[in-house]
Amino acid sequence: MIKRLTNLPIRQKFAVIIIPLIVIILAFDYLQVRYHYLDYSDSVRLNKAIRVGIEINHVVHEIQKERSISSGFLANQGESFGVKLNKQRESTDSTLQQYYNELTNGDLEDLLELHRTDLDQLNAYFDKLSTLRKNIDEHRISSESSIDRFSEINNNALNTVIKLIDETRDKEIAQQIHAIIYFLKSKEFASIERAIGTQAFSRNHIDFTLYNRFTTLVANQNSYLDAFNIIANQESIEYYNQIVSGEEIEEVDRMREVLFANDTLSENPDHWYESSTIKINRLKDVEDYMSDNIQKRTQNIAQTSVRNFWTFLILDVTIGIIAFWLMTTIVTNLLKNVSILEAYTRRISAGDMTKKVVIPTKDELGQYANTFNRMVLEIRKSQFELRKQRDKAKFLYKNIYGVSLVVFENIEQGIFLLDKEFKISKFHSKAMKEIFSNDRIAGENFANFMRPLILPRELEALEMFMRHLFNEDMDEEVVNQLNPIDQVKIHTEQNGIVATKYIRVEFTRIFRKEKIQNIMVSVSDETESILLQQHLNEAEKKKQQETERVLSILKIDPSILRGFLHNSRKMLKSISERYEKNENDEYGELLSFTFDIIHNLKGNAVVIGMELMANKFHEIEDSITALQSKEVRGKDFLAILYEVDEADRMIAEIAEMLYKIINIYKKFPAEGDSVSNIMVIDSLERGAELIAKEEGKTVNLTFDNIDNVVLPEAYIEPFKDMMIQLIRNSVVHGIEAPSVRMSEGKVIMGELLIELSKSDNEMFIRYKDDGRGLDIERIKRQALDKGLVTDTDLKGMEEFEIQSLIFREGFSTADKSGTNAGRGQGMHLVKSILDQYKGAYDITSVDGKSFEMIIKLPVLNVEKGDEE
Amino acid sequence: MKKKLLIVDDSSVMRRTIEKNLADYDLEIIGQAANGVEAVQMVMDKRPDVVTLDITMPEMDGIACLEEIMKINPETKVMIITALADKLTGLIALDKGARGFMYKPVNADDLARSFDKLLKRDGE
Amino acid sequence: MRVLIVDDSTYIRSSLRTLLGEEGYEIVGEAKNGEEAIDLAMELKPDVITLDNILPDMTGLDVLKTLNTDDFTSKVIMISAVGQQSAIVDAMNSGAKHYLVKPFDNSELVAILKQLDEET
Repeated sequence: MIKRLTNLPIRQKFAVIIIPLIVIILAFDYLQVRYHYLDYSDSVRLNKAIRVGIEINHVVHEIQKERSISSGFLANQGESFGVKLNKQRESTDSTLQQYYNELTNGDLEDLLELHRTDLDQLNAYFDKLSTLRKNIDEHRISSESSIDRFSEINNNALNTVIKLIDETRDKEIAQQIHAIIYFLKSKEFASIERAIGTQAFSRNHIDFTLYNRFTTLVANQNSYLDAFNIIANQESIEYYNQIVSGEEIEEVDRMREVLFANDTLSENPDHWYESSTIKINRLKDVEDYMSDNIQKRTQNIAQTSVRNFWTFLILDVTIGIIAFWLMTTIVTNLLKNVSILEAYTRRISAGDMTKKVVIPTKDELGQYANTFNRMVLEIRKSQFELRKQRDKAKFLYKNIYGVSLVVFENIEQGIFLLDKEFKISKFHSKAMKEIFSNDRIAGENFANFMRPLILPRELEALEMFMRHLFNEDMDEEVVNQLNPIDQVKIHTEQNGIVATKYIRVEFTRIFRKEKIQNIMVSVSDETESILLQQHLNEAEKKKQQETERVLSILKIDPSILRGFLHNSRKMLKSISERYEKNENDEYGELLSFTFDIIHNLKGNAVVIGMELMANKFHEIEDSITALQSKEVRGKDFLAILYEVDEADRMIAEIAEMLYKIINIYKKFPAEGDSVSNIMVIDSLERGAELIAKEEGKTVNLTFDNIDNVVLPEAYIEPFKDMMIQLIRNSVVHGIEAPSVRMSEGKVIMGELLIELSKSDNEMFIRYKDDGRGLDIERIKRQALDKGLVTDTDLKGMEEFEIQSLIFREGFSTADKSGTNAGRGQGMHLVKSILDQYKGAYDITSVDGKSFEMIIKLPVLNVEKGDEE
Repeated sequence: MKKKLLIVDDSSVMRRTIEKNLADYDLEIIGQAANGVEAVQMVMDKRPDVVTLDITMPEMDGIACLEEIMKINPETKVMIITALADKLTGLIALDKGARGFMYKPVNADDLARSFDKLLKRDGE
Repeated sequence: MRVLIVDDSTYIRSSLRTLLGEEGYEIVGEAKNGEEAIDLAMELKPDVITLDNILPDMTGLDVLKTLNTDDFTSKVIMISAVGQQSAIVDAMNSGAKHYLVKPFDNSELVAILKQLDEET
């Protein structure tokens, strides 16, 4: 069922929705229309009924009057009311005639039809009037009976009226109609009261039955008035209170009280009748007022109903038309839009995207169309983008060479391609020209291009290297390890100026279709960074040399260095002490003393390998030597003292450095004397080598038995000092020049020997060289030259004594003055030490063969010696 | 089948280093030679697939040795491992038929990479 | 049967007195307002009370509610004017035995009284 519904075409779907709605609306409206129509017809009929009712009421009113008059007429046996009765009968007939005329009115047909029976019955009662009147005229009827007869007619008339009008669906009208009915009944009772009163006053008497009837009449009359007062609308009640009041009404009430009291009924029956009639006429006024009101109201309702009827009818038709029109419009519009979309979709699917779909409505279809348009736009955009990319790619492809030129112009590296013939490609980066200072690049064979720039061996390697680069069997990485111009120094020439450059050249294979097509070469000028690197290297080297210098100081055995420093300071101090004591201005002697000390210190510095101090002391020696030739003054000596002081300061600095080092050594203590011995041996060996080198000779220093004899610490310094002086003496004077030694059949290397031995009391040091020995004649000559001895002295001297001259102060045999000897001070130092330690010596010199010296030193009891 | 490897170097330390670093490879070390003459003899006797060859060796240097090996079996994959900085010699070795080249001192990574290449290209 | 008539209208009281007298009932009292009605009802303890709803000082319903205690045995006939039918329902709920709508036929009242007489 639902499936069949969903499958319906849109137009039918709408019909399914809308048609039942329209039907419901129309049905509802029909009910409304009908209701209003009924209201209308109801009101119209009621209006007519009231019209008829009013006519009947007129008749009733006149009959009521006639009843009272007739009652009076009969009560006094026709003495009074005769004339009045005739007049009344005329007016009764006149209203009757009016009623009948009304009935003949054409528009009452439906009402007459509806109430035929009631009206026929009423008319029959009205017909009885003539018979009743005849009986009255002929006095064949009693007053009471006549009242009953008239009342019977009136009763019927009133009931007919009630039947006629008591038929409405309007609650308000229904209530007012009931108010009228109650009022009519009350009025009828008032009218009967008038008739009874008229009768009673006419007879001046009221019997029991009539009296009862009278009270009941009044009670009922009042009850109906009460009811009227409850249900009548405010207007009617107010009208009633306004009309039915005043003297006449009060007069009626007064005479009613008289009747009720039933004492003496002496009132004039005419007066009663007139007064009552006034009251009844006024009641009739109220009745007319109310009838009139209801008639107006029913008319009003009828008119409203008509208006409503037409309003709803027109509304219905309008709704129907509008609904149908709306449905048609909407469906037509929808179907139209759908078909537009459908056609557009077909066009899109056929590939035509040039147009937009236009749906003027803003409903879902309109939005759908917008979305569709956006979608199509996106597709077109991406198509456009694709086309643009394609065009760009085409453009790039076409302009590839141009682009590469631009790229090459802006690269700082030299870049070019090599082909299989090693030719440089047509396009290369601009930097190539700058790096090689050469315009002819393109098309050149790269090996030829490099030929003037690099070494032949490098060039050979380059050619081989390029060949391997193009060899696909060779791994690129393997070949690249052997790049001979990976980093190469080239010499370029520009405007006659030759510049050295360092360049880095790198090679990369370029493949096309898995074959090596080209080699891409990149050249970068690294001159600046390499020069910088060289600078750094040099600076580093310099720093290293300085470090080595300091280290050379540190290499010296700390105990030896400490001794050296201690000794140096002590001796340098003795110079200044001597200077201060110098009262007689004997500067020559002072200078000699100073020279002696400095020379000794220089020898020590050389032996322990402390070039720094050796050089310093040598400078001082030079200064002193410069002064020796002339007469020395205090001012000159001050300059020397200044230099001595400088040396002292340097030593102080070294001492301080040493102090720190000693602290380190204390933490890692040495293994006693044997280590000290080794350090002494080491420094003596070094000293010998150094001296020999300076003298252009070679020596070999041999130690014998030195491991077995341990030098006490106190002897280490003197031992070293003596040995170094002896070594210097041997190397400078004893050992011959290599050429001499060769000619004499000696080995070129001079042999030096130091041997230690020990007895219980003495320690023996044997020093020996294989040099030329002491030259007695030269010693003599030298001693004479220096003024140490006279010819006479010499003649009385033993050979040993002459040999001992070498130990004398100021004796020097060498001609030239170097660091190592020649100042005639060295051997004197040895003698001084021996004297200091109470040692003895013996010299054995074999001419041309050897020099030997044996030193004896007393064995010290306490090892700590004489440290100060 | 395992490839047969011959290690040629005058330094026993170097030979051990190479041997140790190639332990993970699917290679059978058929021998070690301390000089070119020994090497040529072993190539002749044992026909190795792969040879690591030093250039500076006593008796017969690496280049001469390489020439001999190529005469015996041109298919031998020779990997030059040398401390010699001269690139021309290296290039000559390639000319003579060496397939790999490394500088001493070798580290495990470089050796592994070079052997990967040498063996892979052999496999192709 | 002893009857108390309560109505403000002298004509109605007179009319009822005559009617009930003819029918042989004993009229023990007449009250023209609520206050009198309550006093007489409590004093005379009549068998039947005809009680008009519209009284000058209070409604008949109020009178009924005041009287309707446990020892109240009188039977009340509530009389109301046309259009006040809603008062009748309240009256019946408050203890009235019967009701009449004015104007009523004498025969109606007589019939009600006869019925009450038979019940006793």
